[in-house]
Amino acid sequence: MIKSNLTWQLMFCVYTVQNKLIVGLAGTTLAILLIWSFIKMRKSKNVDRKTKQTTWWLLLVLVSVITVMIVKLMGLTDIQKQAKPIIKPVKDSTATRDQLERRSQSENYCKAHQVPIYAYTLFVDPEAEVSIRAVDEVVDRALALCYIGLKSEGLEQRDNWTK
Amino acid sequence: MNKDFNITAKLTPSEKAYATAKHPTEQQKIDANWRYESLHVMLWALGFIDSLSYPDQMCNVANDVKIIHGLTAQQFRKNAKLRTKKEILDQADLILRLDWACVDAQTKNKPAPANLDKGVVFERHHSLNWLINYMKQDWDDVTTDT
Repeated sequence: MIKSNLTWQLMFCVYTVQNKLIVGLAGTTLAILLIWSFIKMRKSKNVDRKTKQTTWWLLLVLVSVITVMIVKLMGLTDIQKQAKPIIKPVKDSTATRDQLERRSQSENYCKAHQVPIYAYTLFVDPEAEVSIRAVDEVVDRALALCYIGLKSEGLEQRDNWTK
Repeated sequence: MNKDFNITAKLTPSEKAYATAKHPTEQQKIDANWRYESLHVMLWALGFIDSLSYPDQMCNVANDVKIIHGLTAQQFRKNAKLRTKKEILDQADLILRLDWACVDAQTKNKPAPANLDKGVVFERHHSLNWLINYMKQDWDDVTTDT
């Protein structure tokens, strides 16, 4: 009973804990325990043949435990986590001159303020393809935004806006 | 203000919903309050503000409101001088990169880098994307892709 509890606890450690020391100790103890159990059951005269056949499953568990141990101790999971996302950089040659100049200017600003810079290509549309809003549209937007902001403070009715 | 500036006609559907709500939600009020940052960008685009400072703090609302408050609707419209396409695109490109830095930090559960205020950065990105007609989206639908 105690051995069974110990086996489950060791398995829990091997499969769930990330600490390499704990995984190493628990995994080694568990492996020894499994091998010992396997040999003992195979050699025991008190165990019937059918039960002995089921002991092969212990080897499967042993292989699983050793694999998990290797993966965790070698830090393979960390490598997977650190793996860069599959992003293929778009060639800058497709960017227009104004896009490249703008990017360079912005990146210099970012560097000056110690803001991290995006390693891949990131552009706003080229000047020739952009049509900015008309002045009247922007004026209307500014007035609407001012009203909404004032309303959020309950001030939209307070002032006499009579001109 | 509504009467003098004919504001109702200028509001977007979501702004109208807030403006006419008898009991606006807290979120609606918070969102509405952030619109001051967008107003700041519009005032810059219209030449009432000289430059957009590094977005590490919120704008001075009193100064911005004073600009509109001190003028009639006609004077405000007449005095407005829209900045050049280059100037607006320069700011749009910059805010795209600043917002990317904020979003990237957020995905890594880190605070916004270099003391950036991600709320201010987001509002500016939204406003500048609207100004450059990004994806031809209306104000309520403007996306801030990074």
